[in-house]
Amino acid sequence: MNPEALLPLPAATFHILLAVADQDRHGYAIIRDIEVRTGGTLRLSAGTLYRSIQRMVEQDLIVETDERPAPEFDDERRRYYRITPFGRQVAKAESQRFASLVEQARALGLAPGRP
Amino acid sequence: MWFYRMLLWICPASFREEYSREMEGVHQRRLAHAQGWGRIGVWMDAISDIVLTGLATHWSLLVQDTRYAWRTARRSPGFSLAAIAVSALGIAAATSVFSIADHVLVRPLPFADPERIVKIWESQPTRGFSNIDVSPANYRDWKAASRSFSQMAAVRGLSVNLSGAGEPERLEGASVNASLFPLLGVAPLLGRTMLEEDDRPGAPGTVVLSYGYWQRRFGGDPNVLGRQLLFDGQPYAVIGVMPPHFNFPAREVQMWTAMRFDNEVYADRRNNFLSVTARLRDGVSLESAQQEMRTIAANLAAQYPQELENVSATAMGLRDELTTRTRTMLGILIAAALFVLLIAMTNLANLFLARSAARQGEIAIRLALGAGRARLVRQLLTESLLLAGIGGVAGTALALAVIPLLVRLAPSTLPVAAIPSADGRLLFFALLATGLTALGFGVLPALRSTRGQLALRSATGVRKDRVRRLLVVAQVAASIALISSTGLLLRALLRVQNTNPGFATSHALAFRTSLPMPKYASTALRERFYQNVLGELRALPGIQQASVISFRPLGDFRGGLWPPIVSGQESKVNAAARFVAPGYFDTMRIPLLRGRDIQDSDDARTLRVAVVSEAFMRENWPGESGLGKSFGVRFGDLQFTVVGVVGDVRFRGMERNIEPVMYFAHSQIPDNAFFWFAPKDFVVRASSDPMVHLPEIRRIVARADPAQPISDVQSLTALVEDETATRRTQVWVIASFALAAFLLAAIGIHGLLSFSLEQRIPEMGLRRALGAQTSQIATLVFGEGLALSVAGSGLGLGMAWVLGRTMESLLAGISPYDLYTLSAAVALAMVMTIGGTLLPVIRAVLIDPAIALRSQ
Repeated sequence: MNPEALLPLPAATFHILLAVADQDRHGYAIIRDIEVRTGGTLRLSAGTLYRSIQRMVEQDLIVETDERPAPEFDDERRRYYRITPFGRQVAKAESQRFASLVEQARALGLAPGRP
Repeated sequence: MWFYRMLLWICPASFREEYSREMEGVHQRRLAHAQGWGRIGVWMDAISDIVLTGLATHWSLLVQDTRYAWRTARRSPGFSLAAIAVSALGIAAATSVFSIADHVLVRPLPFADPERIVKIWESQPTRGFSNIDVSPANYRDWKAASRSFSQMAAVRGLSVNLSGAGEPERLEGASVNASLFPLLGVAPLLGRTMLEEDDRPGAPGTVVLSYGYWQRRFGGDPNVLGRQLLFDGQPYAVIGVMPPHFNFPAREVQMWTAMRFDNEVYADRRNNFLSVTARLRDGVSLESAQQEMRTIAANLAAQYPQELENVSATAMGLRDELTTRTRTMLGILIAAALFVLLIAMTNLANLFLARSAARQGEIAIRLALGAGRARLVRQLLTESLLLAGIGGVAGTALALAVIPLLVRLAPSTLPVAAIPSADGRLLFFALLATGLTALGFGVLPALRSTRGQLALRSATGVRKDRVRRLLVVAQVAASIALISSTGLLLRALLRVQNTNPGFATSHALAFRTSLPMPKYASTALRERFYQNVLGELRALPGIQQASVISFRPLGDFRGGLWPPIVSGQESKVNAAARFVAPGYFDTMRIPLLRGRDIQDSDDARTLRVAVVSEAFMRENWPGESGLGKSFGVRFGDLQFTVVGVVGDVRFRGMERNIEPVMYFAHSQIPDNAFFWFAPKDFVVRASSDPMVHLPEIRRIVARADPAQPISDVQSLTALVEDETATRRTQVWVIASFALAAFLLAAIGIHGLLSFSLEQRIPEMGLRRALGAQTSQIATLVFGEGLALSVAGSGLGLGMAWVLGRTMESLLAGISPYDLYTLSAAVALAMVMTIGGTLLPVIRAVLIDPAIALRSQ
C-alpha cells in the first residue's frame, strides 16, 4: 500500500507513531510520552488511544509485540506496541508533508527562519 | 473499578475484549496520580471518554458492516431483492393496519384532555334502549342539577339549503350551544366561535365554517369573516373557521350555528333530538358521573311520571360508542397483519438459513481465523437489518399508498378524520415492524450459522432442517388461518349482498330536496311543489315512475321508532313512520300485498289512511288481513285506518332486522306539524341508466323552486353497494393478506424442498442406481412436502377455528366452522403444496445417477 494514501494522519495517530518510533511502549507510556513531548498540551484519553491503536493495528502501522521487558519492570496486564516498517514510511511521509508546509509558510514570512 | 468496567459495556464487545484491561490500567494510573478533587476530574473525563469512544467504535463498526453487507447483497441480487420484497410486504401490512387501528382505537382524540369528554344519552333500560337522543327540557334540567361536569353542551344535526351566491347547495352542519367549543378545547383557526349572546333566542344568525368547506367554497379566503350566507333563506354571518382536523360530532359536518333555544322547545319532554356532550370536572370519575346522572334522571322521572316513564340517563366516553363490530374487525385485521408479518419473517429466516448454509465455509474460516462470534453475529445481523431497512422504506411507501384505500375502516361516528395522518406515529409503527422483521429473521440464522464448525457440517445440517421444517409448517398454518378467515368473510359478504332489500335497485335513482321551514310550513304548499316536480318527472320520456318519501331506505336513518297504539294499548314493538306521495311502492317495486296504495284522492278532507308493512301486520294483527283496522300514533294523537299492506323493506341497513313501517299520505299531514317528516327523498325509476336524466331533473326542480338545491344523488344500486362497502374493504384487505401468505408459504415449501434436495442429490442418485422407479423418487420428494402441508393444515385449522370464533359477530350468520370454507382452505393448501413441490420433484426425477454419485 502506498504510504501517501493514509495522509494526512489524524493528530493522535501521528503522535502515537512518534511515541513508538524509538522504543516499544505500552499504552500508558504512550500517553505519558505524548504529554511530555507536547509540554502537557495534549493528553490522550484512554478511549482515543485505544481506538487509534485498534485502527493503526488494522492499517498495519503498528503491531503488538510478544517481547516483554525484564519481569521486575513488567506488569502482565500491559501490552506493548512496536512501529512497523510501513508505519515508519507513513510517519516519514507525514513529516515530509509537514516540512513542505512549513517551507511554504516560511516563504510567506509566517514561520521563523530565513525566507 | 467495577464502575469503570461497567461503563466499558458501552463499547462493542470486540473492542472491549481487546482493550478493556489496558484501559482500566490507564485509568488506574491516572487515578493514582490525581489527588483530592482531581480524582473527580479523572472520573468525569473517563465517563465522557468511554461514552464517546463507545459511540465512535459502534459507528465505525456499523459503517464497516454496512459496507460489507452492501457488497454481499450486491453479489446475490436475486436473493436480496426477494428478501427486500418479502419484508416490504410484511412491513406494509403491519404498518397500514396498525396505524388504522391506532387511529380508531388508541390515539387521543383531537380535543383538549379528550378522556374527560363524555356523551350523555337518555336510555330506557327496561326496554333495552340505550343512546336515545335527549329532549331540550331534560338537557336543561340535567345541566342545572349535575355537579359532575364542568361544562355541558347540546348538539343537533342540521341540514340547510345554502342560497344567495351562485348555485344553491345543500349543506350538512350542526347547531350547537356556545359552550361546545370551549368544552372541546379547540380554538378556531380564524375569527371566533359563538359567544353566549349569539346563542339566545332572537340573536342574529352566526356560523362557524369547517376548514374543508372554507377551502372548497371560499378558496380559503381570509376575508370570509363577516360574509352573510343565506341558510334556508335566513341570514347568517360567518364569524370563524375551525382548524383542519376538527370533525365534531361527525366528519360530514361542514358548519356550526348557534342553537338559540326558545322557550317553546322546552314544552315537550318527549321531543328528543339532542346529543349531549359534557366535560367531567377534575377529580370526578366516569362512574360517579354515571351514578349522579342516574339519580338526576330518576328524580325527573318521579317529577314527570307520564312523560319520563322508565327514562334514565347514561354517560359514556367518546370511544365507548364504538361498536363491537368495529373493534372485532380491527382486531381481526391486526391479527391478519401480524400473521403476514410472521410469515414474511419465517420466510426470510428460511432464506437466510439456506444462504448461511451456503456460506458456512466462509463463516467457519473466519471463525477459525479468530473472528469473535459476537462480531460475526453482529455483522450477519447488520446484513438482515440492511435488507429489512430497505424493505422498511419500500413497505412504508406502500403503506402510505394503501392507507387512503382503507378509508372505510374508520367509522364515521368517531369525531376523527377518515384516514390517519402520515405522522410520527405511523413512522414509529414502520420502524417497529422493520426492527421486528430484521430481528425476527436475522437472529436465528445468525446464531445458528456461527455456532457450527466446519467438521460438523453434515451433522448440523439435519438439525437445521428441523428448524426450517417448523418454520414452513408455521407458514402453512398461518396461511390456512388467513385463507379460511377470508373465506368466512367473503361468504358473509355474499350473504349480505344477496339479502333482498325489499325493493328493486336497477335503473333507479334517489335524490334529496329538503324544503326549508317556515317557508314550506303549509302542507298544501309542499304538496304543490311535489306535484309540480313529480308531474314533470313522470312526463319525461324514459322515466317510468317517480315519487317522494320522508326518508328513503338505507339512508342516514332518521325519524325514530314509535309505538303504535292499537285498541288503546301501546304496542310493544315500535314502528318507523314515513310520509309518502302516491306511487312510492310502485316506483320502489315494493310489492303491494293487499288493499291499495295511497292515492291523490286521500287528502285533508278524507279519512286518514295508512299503508303498513307486513311486519307491522304480523306484530299487531297476526293472521288477519288487517285492512280497515285503525291505530293511533303518539305524535299529534292522530288515528289512521289501514288501507293497504306492502312487503317489508330493510330500511335501516342490509344487516339490520326487518322492522315494521307505517306509511302515511303526505297530503294528510296537518299544517305546521312534523316538519322533520316532510318528504324530501325523491325516487325515480327509469327504463335505462337513470343518471342520464340528472340534468333534466335539476332543471325540473329549479323550475318548481329556483332556490331549492338537490343533494345526495345516488342510484339505488350504489346505495345497496354502499351498505357492503366496509365489508368489501375488509374482505379485500384480508384477501390480499391471504394471497400474500399463500404465495409466501408456497415459496417457503419450494425453498425448503429445493434445499434439502440439494443435500440429498447423492442419496437420490444412489437410489436411482439401485433401481428406484421414477414414481418412487417423485413420491419421496412429494411426500416430504405433503407431510409439511398436512402438519401445517392441522395447526392452521386450529388457528382458523379460534379466529372464526373471535369474528363471529362479523359473519352475518355464517357459522365460524363453515365446512365449505374450511375444506376450501385445506384444498388450497394442497394446491400450494403441489405448486411448491413441483419443481423439486421434477429435478429429483431428472437426477442422473452417474453424475450424482460422481459428485461425492
